[in-house]
Amino acid sequence: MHQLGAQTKLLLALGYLFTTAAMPEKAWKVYPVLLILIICTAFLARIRLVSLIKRSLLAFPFHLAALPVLFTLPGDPCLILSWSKFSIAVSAPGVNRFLAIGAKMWLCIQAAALLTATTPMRQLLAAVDALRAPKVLTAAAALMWRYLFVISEEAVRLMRARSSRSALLSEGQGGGSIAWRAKVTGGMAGSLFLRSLERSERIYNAMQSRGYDGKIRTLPSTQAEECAPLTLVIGGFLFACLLLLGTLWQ
Amino acid sequence: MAITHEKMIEIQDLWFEYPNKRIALKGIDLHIHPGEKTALVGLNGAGKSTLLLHLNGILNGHGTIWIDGIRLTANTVGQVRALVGLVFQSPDDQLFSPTVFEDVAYGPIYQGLPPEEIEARVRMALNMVGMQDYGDRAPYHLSVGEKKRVAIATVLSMQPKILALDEPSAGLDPRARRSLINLLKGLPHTMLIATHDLGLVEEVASRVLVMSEGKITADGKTEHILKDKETLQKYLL
Ligand SMILES: Nc1ncnc2c1ncn2[C@@H]1O[C@H](COP(=O)(O)OP(=O)(O)O)[C@@H](O)[C@H]1O
Ligand SMILES: [Mg+2]
Repeated sequence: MHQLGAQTKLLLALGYLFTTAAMPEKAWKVYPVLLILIICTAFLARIRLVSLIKRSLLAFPFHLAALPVLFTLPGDPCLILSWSKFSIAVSAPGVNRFLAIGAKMWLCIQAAALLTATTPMRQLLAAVDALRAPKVLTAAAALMWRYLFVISEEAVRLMRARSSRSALLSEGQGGGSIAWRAKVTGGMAGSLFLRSLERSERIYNAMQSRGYDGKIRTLPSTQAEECAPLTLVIGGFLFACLLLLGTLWQ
Repeated sequence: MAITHEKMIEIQDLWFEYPNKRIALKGIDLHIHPGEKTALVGLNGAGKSTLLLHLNGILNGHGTIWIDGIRLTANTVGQVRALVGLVFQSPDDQLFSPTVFEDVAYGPIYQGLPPEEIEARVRMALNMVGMQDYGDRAPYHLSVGEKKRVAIATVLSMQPKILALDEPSAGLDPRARRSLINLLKGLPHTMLIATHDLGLVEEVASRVLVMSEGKITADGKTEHILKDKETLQKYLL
């Protein structure tokens, strides 16, 4: 798994995402197969499932975005929520779609987590580049990746500075109202934002000093690595079969 | 060193006001000869960084600037940027690429050099700062001293004639500082070094400019300025 080129892995992951997204929502019998694919890959790559599952918790907020389909899809009401004068019906197709979206999202995130766990970010960016994605996109992603750490470290420093000054004189509730604390936290977020803004200005200066002229230029990637065709063909075939299966076997 | 009468840097009556109305430079006049290593000292807020940012047209104040005989204008700014290697105070701002190699290659790529030449330049620059084995590393994971060296390499790869360094020894531990001083002593470039580090000034620079509130208030040989207790008291301590 780790020997596969970044480009191949990226294409396979994209294929997986596409297959999962395009899978008919009633094809419940195929979803376990998709899950088994993930588990096998994780096993081959010697990634512990626990760490994958932890990463997948990241998807949770996105599930909330799918909540409205519970109520908006027309169909037999299977549950009626009422609250004083209001009542709202949850439809059966709504539940079905909500679960399908949830499952798909979870599977896709697993695939993305697997990809990033087995491929260094740098190779991934190079692979995206080699697939002729717009350079602005990869350059922005590279910068984001580079400064994510710097900014999060800055945030940690700010929090440390706050906690080291918020000592308690005795057991119990600390001083300051909740509003005051919220204001402090807001101020910290603002200061982090300002610092990042100033930093971006300095980085831009540094880029300009070395000739940046608004166009993004990079070295032609020297190790245009082999895109294992056999693996890709097998992968594509597998995904096509799964899709077919999903359509027929609802 | 033979003093020639050509000037590597010449600045005449340079004024600069930040958008918030803060006047940071108030009529700077300055000549620096080829090969001269000059220190720029002065309290925080004196205008050192602002002056350095003018050398390659990042900031544009009122006044005239010649770099190696080229007058700095909107048309020549590309040419001038190839001549002036500006090393920023925070290496985290200077090193913005995913790997050390890519960062050092950035300048040469924008100079439009062919790939083999770029490779050669990167290797040469990393060699000069003693970081030849670090090409594949991520800048983020280096120590401050190593980052500083790589930051210098990122401009050396452009083969500039001038190095402009902003507080190069700030934040370094004694050993990293020592090796930086040795590195700067060994490089042949014309240098303008903004710093608070009088030890570094004494070892590296042959000439000192003292800045205060946007003006150059003293200018002389290093041994004279550093012995001039009155000037030091007034503008530095
Ligand atoms: N981006 C900026 N916007 C507004 N004022 C600035 C900015 N940068 C610096 N200044 C002001 O310009 C003056 C000179 O600053 P600077 O050149 O950074 O001094 P030094 O590098 O000598 O410490 C200071 O008064 C500073 O507050
Ligand atoms: Mg400064």
